[in-house]
Amino acid sequence: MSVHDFILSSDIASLKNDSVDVISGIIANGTIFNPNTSPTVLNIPKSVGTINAGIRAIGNTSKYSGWYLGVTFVTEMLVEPTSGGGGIFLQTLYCNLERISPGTIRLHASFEGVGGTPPDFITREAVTITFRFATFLSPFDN
Amino acid sequence: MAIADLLLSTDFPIDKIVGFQSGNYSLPSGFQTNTINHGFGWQPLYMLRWSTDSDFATSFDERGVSFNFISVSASTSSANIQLTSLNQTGATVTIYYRVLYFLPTTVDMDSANTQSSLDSFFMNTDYNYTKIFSEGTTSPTSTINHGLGYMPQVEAWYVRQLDSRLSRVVQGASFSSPSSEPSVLVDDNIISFTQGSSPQSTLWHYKIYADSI
Repeated sequence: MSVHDFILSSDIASLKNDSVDVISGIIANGTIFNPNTSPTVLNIPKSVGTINAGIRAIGNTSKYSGWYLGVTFVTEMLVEPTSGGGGIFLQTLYCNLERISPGTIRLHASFEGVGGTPPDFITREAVTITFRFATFLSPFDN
Repeated sequence: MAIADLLLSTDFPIDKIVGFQSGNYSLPSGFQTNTINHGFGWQPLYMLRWSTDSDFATSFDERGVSFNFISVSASTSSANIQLTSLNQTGATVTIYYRVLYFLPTTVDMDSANTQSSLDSFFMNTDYNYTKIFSEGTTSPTSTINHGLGYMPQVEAWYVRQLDSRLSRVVQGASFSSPSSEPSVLVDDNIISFTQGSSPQSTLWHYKIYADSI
């Protein structure tokens, strides 16, 4: 008999859903960062109650519409070097859901590095990053 | 009562873990691919979690694109799972991995017992069991009308055109121009699958759950 023929089986481990939650943060217009030495622009921890095996998530940015499947989310923001000219341009922003301790999830967003020793940059718009996510209990006991 | 209000509904199956693997490997600076045989003989769906801590205190789902200079991606064939890692920290690190395997709808088989070595309880009513509302395969660029009226939990894996290996969607991308990667948009009534160009998908495996997110 195939696994598909069962709703559940006492012989086969199942995936236990622990929590469903939302984590969101705003990257303000005027945020200073350095692509190589201090690229992090969002760092928001949230308790999720227990250890987990994995995360199922969808992500969204207020800059564009739509919810994309995935625990990581890549988008872009308008930024400008604080010195040396170059003007305003779109820079890639990486957003990620990470487990940073047993029971704590973090929304982390950082800009990609540009190599060399860049000047500080400043964001030229405000963007909200949101993840809606479900966590699952680890069958590995931690 | 709505399906999503139940911990378990006998009208809908739940995810059954038909296998799991864990281990570790040394990762010097740069790219490295580790191939681990899973022994199924068919191409499994999977979930990967990895860490540089042996106790997984800080850990990541597949990829991990934060500015930590390390990422791990996965893909499966009928013989193995490949973990492709990138380490830009400048030092050798140890990667610890844990993989859960699921049966795709394209395969029918019995399963070895996986419960006895995992949780003490095969069910625990403290936790929800996400109910599979719909699952199957769909074409590279396609739309599925689920009609639930709310955003459901979704899992999706794509088969790569390049080598026919299967990868889980872990990264959404929202740019002013279309993203090159295969992606999945989740809506209150529709799931939209996009083929992508690098890598290019040739088939999607999906699970849509009755549980909201």
